[in-house]
Amino acid sequence: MANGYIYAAYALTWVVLIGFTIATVRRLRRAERAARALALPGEEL
Amino acid sequence: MTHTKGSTTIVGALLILALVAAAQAFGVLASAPDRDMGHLQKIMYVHVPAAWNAFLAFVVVLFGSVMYLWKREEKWDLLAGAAAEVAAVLTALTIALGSIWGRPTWGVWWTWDPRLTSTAILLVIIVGYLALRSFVDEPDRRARWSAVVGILGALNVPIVYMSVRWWRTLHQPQSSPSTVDPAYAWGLRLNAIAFLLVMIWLVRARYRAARLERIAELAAEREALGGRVVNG
Repeated sequence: MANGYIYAAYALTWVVLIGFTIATVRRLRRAERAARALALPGEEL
Repeated sequence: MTHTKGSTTIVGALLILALVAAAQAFGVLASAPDRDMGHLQKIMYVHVPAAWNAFLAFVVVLFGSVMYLWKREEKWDLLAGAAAEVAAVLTALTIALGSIWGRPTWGVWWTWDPRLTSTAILLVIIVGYLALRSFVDEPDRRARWSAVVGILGALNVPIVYMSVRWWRTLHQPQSSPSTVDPAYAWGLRLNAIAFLLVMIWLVRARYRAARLERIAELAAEREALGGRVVNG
């Protein structure tokens, strides 16, 4: 019974860590694309 | 150049997540069952590092907010905003993990204990902070108001931390390598460091994304005013 709570805690941790990391990478890539398309030549990104 | 930077970012994230997995494996496999809690003690290796790093993310919010009010430079506001997003996620994770731990040890998923309640207030404040950022369009006003709320939110962190000593609570005193059994200290240290690296990576990546979004916003405004320039 106790093991179920341990598995749940670790599973939740990994869902949150991986989910938030993927969301962050996707946001970063989207922002890089948008900034590159609109930035002035030579503007530091 | 940008592609290389993006790839480096992803490789960095994968390496840090691998480190988290290794630290967790060490903590889970190397520690004997606790006398009272048995194997449930192993939840400490995720709950406590999440809580500590949520607190640290709040410290970054405080630092960014104070620096913005002092220097009035946008980068500090963006740093505080990035740290607040990470603080919100880690605080929510801390509460959820504590709830999963509380059910088999205390017999309840939730109770209005001072530690739990003050942590819930912390979560409400930081969610309010993020809502404020999304509602206010004018950058200067958004940054100013956010900085004030960010400072108020961060000031709640010492109250959360000390709540287990100031009031009678169901929650145990703060866990740290100096208060837990020596058999668990290294597992806790390693997991805290691994979570710290995750927190730093997330804040840095989200800060960079926020800066690039501002560059794109400013460029879009410039374009709307008539000077369309596309970087080729």
